[in-house]
Amino acid sequence: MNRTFKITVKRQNSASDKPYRQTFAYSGDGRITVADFLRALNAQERIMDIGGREVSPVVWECACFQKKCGACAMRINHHPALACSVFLEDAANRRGEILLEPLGKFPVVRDLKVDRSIISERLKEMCVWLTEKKTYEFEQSPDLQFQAARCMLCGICLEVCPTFGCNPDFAGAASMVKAGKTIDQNQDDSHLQEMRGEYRKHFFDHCCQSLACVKACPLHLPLAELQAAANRQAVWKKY
Amino acid sequence: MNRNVVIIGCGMAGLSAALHLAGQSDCTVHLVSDMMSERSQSCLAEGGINAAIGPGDSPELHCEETLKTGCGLADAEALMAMASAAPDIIRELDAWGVPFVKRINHSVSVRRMGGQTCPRTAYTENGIGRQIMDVLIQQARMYEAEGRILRYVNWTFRALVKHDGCVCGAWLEHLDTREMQFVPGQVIMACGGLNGFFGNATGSTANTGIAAAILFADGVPFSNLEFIQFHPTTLRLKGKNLLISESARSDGGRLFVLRDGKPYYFMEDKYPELGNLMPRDVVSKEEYSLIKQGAQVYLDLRGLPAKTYETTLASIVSDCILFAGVDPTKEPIPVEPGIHYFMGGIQVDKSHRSPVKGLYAAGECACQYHGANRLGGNSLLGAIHGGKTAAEAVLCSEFSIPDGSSEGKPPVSLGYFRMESLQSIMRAGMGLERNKAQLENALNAVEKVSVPDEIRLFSRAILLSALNRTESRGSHFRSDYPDCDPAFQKSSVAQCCDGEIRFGWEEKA
Repeated sequence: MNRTFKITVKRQNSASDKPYRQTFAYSGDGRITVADFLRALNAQERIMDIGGREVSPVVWECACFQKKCGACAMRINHHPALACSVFLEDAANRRGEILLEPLGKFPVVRDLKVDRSIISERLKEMCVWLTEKKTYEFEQSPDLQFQAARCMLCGICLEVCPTFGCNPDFAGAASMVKAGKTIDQNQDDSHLQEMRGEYRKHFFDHCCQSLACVKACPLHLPLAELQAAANRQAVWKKY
Repeated sequence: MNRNVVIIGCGMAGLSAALHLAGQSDCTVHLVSDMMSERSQSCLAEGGINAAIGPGDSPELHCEETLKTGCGLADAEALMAMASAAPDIIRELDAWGVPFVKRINHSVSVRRMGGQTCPRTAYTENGIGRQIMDVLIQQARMYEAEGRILRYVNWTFRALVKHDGCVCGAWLEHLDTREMQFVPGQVIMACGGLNGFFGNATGSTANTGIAAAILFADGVPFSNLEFIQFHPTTLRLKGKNLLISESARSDGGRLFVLRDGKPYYFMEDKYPELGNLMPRDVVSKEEYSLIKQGAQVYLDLRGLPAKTYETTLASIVSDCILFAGVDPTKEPIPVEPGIHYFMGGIQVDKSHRSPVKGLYAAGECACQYHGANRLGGNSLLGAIHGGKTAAEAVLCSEFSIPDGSSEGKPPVSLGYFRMESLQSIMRAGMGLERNKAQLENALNAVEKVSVPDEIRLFSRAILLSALNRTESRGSHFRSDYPDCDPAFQKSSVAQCCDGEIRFGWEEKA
């Protein structure tokens, strides 16, 4: 059944410019994702808003359109999600309205595009790399290591986290996941102890265990189990 | 002496090159990419990575089967080097923490993918690309912290800078500010395939092909542009064709069409030995002939062991349910051939050097290893081995940036443009089945679309490459020349000289 959706995009030319809103109309059965809607919108030679005014293409990030790259994270009717896996009919309220906003915990670059480079920077500060693998016997099961590697660093776990952004040291779940895998695999050397120290400083000492990240993760990664395993290796284990 | 190297693209090939350079010499690597490595198309890869580590297998057999599937167009010497290096690559990835599926004795397990007579594909539970990228990104991070790899995220390639015909750097353009920046060094291209010229490929839309077009217009020769792999099992969505990995057939998935209301398993009937796991070009062509008769092709994953749905098939099952509302455990998946991989690309020798001094290429943007058709599991191997080989060639080169060289004036931005009109022309011209009239229509239509000159020129080169190969071979299927012609057992080479496209042929093997 066809219906009309009113999709409002929060836009901003740069971090220092004033934000504004533009609304677009879409008619269809609603079985189209927010990402496909944005792609189709930008593909038009002349992009018209609901009032018939020509506007510039909406800036946003995308790459895979199948929930495998993490680029298209944004707030959809206030819920952080990947635009490629949310369908208009599921996102809209009863009046068919959908509001698209950039993630709020990261600096806006333009429109729906934000700067998430802090995630990579934090992993660098936390020295998350392997010097040498110790054995094939790990604390984490192979399945948990596999799940940890799946994390795409989309930033949604940080968006919903009550601590990330308030405490400047706190790196959040994304860093915990990657650090946990590496700490588990690394041999017992000075680098391991350095990583353990950084893990405490950037994660363990500040996580308030709200576990908001568990519900929000678009891949449904087992973040509670991953955290328990990471804490065991990084904090509780005696060397 | 400190050596600067610019790498364009931070997917698997780019990271492999960067790690090799940063680890072995006093190199500074400038790693350039539109987005961070976590977003790259390499992260989407599904099937696995090939290496002759299984019982009864050998690098010679790996090489032979790849060459056969490539219909004689791949460079046998380069291929043998890759097949021989593959087992060590698997060992290295294992040591860096890729959670490969293992045998009970901790050795890496292999499974059978298309075109193999021996199980040869190492794999993880699923999503091997993400798993390998995770460790490559992790190891690159160490060099980033040391300042040996400098990341330029959100920068895109804009132009090569040459001095006396040698590449001495690249101009980069910032995606948001449009600011230009010059970075000195020899240049390794690792910018992926030409998805942006077609629009509905299974891969990433970030692989625009624009860097390739810029290089082509600058005179860099490209080989075998006519060879585009159509993957036999893709699911048409609103925006893209979703890949259903070959691993689904490796796990027991069967292709069928309905005949008189009953399933007819056409691959098993026609090819009793390899059945559903024939090379992709063969399966796609069989499907296409049935689709032309009005049939719908289905991939049947029903009735497989429950454990398979929870492990190796888990992401396929959840993707089909989420994106198409089809539950593969209960109903067959409607599939069609879809654009998946570009075998052609920048012409390189077995060391991954392009004919332009100081320019190298690796991964999907380079023409190497796959010939007329690629085997599943060889693209990740080609990306890692190719990146390493290109890095090695840079280290072996005597070439240094001459003192008198200057970057000159910054180039002008290509600005904002849309590819959609061009994409529909290219899809119509370069379909799975092509003919002269179709290709000529596309050539005419390309003249009228509004895109930058570089983009139009490169589109013409792709179409002309397909027009010039008046035979059918591998993935290139001409309805007006349906037979393979031994006289064409050579690679096409397209090059732009003074605005004109010139063609030649290169004998390989």
